[in-house]
Amino acid sequence: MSIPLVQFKDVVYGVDGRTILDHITFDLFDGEFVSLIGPNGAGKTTFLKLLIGRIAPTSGAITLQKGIGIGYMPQSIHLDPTLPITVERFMDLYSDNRKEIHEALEAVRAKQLLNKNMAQLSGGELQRVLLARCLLSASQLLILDEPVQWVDFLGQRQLYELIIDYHQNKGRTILMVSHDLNLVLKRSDRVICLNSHICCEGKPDHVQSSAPYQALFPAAQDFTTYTHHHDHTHDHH
Amino acid sequence: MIIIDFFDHFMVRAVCAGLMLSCLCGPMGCLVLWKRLGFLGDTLAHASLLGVCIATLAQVSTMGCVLAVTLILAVILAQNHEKSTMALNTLLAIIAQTTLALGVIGLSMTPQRSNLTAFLFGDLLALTRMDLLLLLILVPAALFVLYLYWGDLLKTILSEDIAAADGLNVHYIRTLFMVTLAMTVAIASQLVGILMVASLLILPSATARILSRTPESMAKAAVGISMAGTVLGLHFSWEANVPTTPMITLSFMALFCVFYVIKKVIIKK
Repeated sequence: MSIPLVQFKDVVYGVDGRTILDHITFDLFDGEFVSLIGPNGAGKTTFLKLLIGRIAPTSGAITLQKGIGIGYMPQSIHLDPTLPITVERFMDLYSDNRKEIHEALEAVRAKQLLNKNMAQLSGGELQRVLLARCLLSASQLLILDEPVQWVDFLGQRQLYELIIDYHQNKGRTILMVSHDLNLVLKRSDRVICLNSHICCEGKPDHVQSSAPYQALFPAAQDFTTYTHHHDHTHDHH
Repeated sequence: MIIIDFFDHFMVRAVCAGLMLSCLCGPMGCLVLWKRLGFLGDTLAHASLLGVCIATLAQVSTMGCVLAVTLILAVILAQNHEKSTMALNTLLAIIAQTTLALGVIGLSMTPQRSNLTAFLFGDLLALTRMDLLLLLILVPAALFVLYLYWGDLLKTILSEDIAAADGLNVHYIRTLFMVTLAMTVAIASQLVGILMVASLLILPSATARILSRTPESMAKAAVGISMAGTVLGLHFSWEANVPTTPMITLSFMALFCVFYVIKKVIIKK
């Protein structure tokens, strides 16, 4: 097997004696589309912040392949009303290529926002701009933290299709935190279910039928359309 | 006649110093606003009195000592900024009040005690040639740092996470900003006085915000407004024979009101 793009080796992260992530071992390979799911407070965002090097692990090692470009999309950014900045100037901070900026905004259907002040964008509009920003750089690895929150229902599907397109046709590797247990999960190569530790991982079908998943998302089965393949017990240990 | 009065010797020095300080305080003030660190500027300014006090007791250069105290404090704050469990502003208020109290008590034990008002409210008219020379070195140096790191500073203001993913050393940029701010405050506090530093940083930037659509135009507008307010303040304080720096602050306020009203009227049309 090839060398992974990202490698977590027995990573522990704690703050003030509280363990947020516990003994995480994880590989991400070139070309994969991995979904990261888990309840609120499971450490999903912390996981991503460790990966991008924003915070350092308490113990363990994180290795990134040399020279890898990362396009990171956070859940939100700090927009102070005293900072006047248009969408165009914002995008301009991250790319010198005007054509590329226009194309990225076009892809997320946000080109009409070009001259709008960032602070005046709605939640969904801001998400689109942030997604466009992360498509800008020729980053091999896209790390998306709940990319479609605040986006309207139709828009969610459009953006998910766009992300999948960047994976399938443009060969980007994607690691995405998502609460969508239906569409996204089924299209992923691999699903990782996180609740402070990795409680299960594997192909979507495999994860969805595992006991830890069903303990964490008991109601999810009412909404998702997947089919059961095997019997299992609801064993909570 | 007025022109001849205006260019009287110490006034020339005051105007030159004021204009140079404006060049630096314009963009710095904008960054402080955007980062919501107005309190930090205040804290560093209050701490500078402790520097004055130490310099007097140890009989060393005041400016050097003030620079040292503000720089050390800035580096310590930059180091612990994220680890602190206390909200930053609470911590800053505690440091500001403590250093001010220590400074006042320390100064009261030295011959400088009669100069406390000058330290608090500044004395732009008492500038020496050395002060001007120092400004001539430090202001361009700080501006050069801002010019080099402007984009990176904006990126870290908007999102430290995106900046980190882009490969920026967020901690380094933050320390650099704090150090530049400490230097700005150290210089400004010696010229316009400890209590007036915040006005020089915040008021022109707040006015510039009304007029601007991009970060860069806001920084430039802040420089212009700061220069205009400084010259107006110096002029009126000379004419009316009142303290200089409070007059500069009032000029800033007047400019703010003028532009605010203009903006409101234009929008209504």
